[in-house]
Amino acid sequence: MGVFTLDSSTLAVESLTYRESIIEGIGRSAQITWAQNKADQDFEHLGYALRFAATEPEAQDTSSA
Amino acid sequence: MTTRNGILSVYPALGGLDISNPTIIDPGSLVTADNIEYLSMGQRKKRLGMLQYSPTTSVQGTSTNVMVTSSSNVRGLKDTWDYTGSVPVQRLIAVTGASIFRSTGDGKWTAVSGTSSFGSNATLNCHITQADNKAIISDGAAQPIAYDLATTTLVSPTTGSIWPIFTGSVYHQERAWLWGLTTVGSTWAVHPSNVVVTAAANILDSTGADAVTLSIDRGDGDKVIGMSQPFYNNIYIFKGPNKGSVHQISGQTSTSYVKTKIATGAAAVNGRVVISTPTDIYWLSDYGCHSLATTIKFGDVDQALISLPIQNLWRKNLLSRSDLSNAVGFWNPHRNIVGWAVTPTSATSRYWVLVYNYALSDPSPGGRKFWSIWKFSRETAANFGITSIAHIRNPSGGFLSAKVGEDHIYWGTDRGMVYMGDYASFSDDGAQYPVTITTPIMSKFQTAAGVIPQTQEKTFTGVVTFYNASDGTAQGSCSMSVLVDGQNNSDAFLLAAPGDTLG
Repeated sequence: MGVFTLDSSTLAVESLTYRESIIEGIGRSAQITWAQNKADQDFEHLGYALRFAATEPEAQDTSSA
Repeated sequence: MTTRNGILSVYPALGGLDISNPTIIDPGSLVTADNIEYLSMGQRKKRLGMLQYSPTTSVQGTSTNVMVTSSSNVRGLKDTWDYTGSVPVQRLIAVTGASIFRSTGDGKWTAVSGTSSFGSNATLNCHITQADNKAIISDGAAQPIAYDLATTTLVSPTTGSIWPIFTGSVYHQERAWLWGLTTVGSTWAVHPSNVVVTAAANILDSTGADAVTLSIDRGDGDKVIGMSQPFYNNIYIFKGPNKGSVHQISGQTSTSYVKTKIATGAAAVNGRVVISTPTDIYWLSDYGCHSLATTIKFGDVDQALISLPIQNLWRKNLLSRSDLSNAVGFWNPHRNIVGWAVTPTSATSRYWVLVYNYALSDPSPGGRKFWSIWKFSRETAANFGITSIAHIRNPSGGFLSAKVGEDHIYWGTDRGMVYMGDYASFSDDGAQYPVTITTPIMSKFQTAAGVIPQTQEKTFTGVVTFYNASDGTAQGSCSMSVLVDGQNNSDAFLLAAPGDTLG
């Protein structure tokens, strides 16, 4: 373990690290992809959260599919 | 309408790859898990890279140190140790093309034999076994030979007759168990269902009084296609490739061996896919991946279930079924994984590795499994195929001096080259490789006001990505995309450490 110094050492590893991304979409389903294709770059994914709100409870149009 | 707002939180995400159907699986699972490994709490982390076995790291991406030619197959690879003196001496051995090579650990290979002295480049089912301070080299086609680790010379049996031609061997009770016998080119009267067990303390004596030949269900439509390493004082013989069966051999002496058939079906596709670990034996068949512990505990009908989440690889022929006979497996103990290199359909080389984290997975039927697929591509236009795999303790002869003594997986390839895996560089011999994870298609959500069913539309407003900041390398980047009924939203960001100061 290293030495922790007040006012200078960072708590980076102990912090909750997250990215809040704003999206706009209306539909019945969602699917998320995370990707990276860079040399010598790390990637560690811990989880995610998806924000949503309900819209009209009844369908108003016939689906095209 | 605020009560109609909701958030689906999948943190921590505890799920592995499941390609059965993206619309009906758990939101914690993944439908794509390319080039990741799972850490101890299920975190999805970019797999480590690889580095070519060469005297210097400056030749990454080149073919400077090929054995034979840059299109030769490294058919066999093994970490062996001469321990006849007080200090063990490491001997790395490779079989490439039709030659046997050795290395002192300096990143270079030296031919032990002449250029055409052992088998042919096309015979991939090559095995190297350390036994009685020798390395037994066999491939089921050429006359087997041994490499004496003390004298660093090739030796052949002189006690009794010559060895039969066999595919592989296992060292058990100070005897060599020779399996995969072939009558082609052999002077022996052998049967493919036989296993020849040499005399104790003399692996070169396969015909003397203490040697024995075991018959394993002769005439059942199969040959002996593989063997496990010794496992809780027993040894397990696999028959295939048509019907499949597993036989347990117990007993301490050559006159007291007892054979018990413990499983039928799920024939191993070759002997190099049988993976022995201290707690289980895994293998690859023509219809899935199997665990001996799961098979014995839950019965034959559940043999395939450790690969159930990725069963579509077989069912939809996403793997080259015809090349499974050339697949090769490995065990990486310090990453808690086993895996098999296979060829995807329409490809010509084994550059996919199916990776199973046995420490996180529940092996019982229906239990959660943690699979991922590693896709190797050293260079954009020159994917290589894996032709052999070995678990090697990094040598002290000069190769990567900062990593001496570490155990790593080494990949033998169809480029005449060997690469050290688990290289903390996040590059494949200097080249980038993509990491991709994808959630299932999520359509049913819970809010305080109740369930929003699949049939109801939703407004999606945001995604929160939880990650761990880059681990001692350049700050990682990430691109995220969200498909809402096929319409794309995207964001790109750095996996930065926000941190904070205390005071």
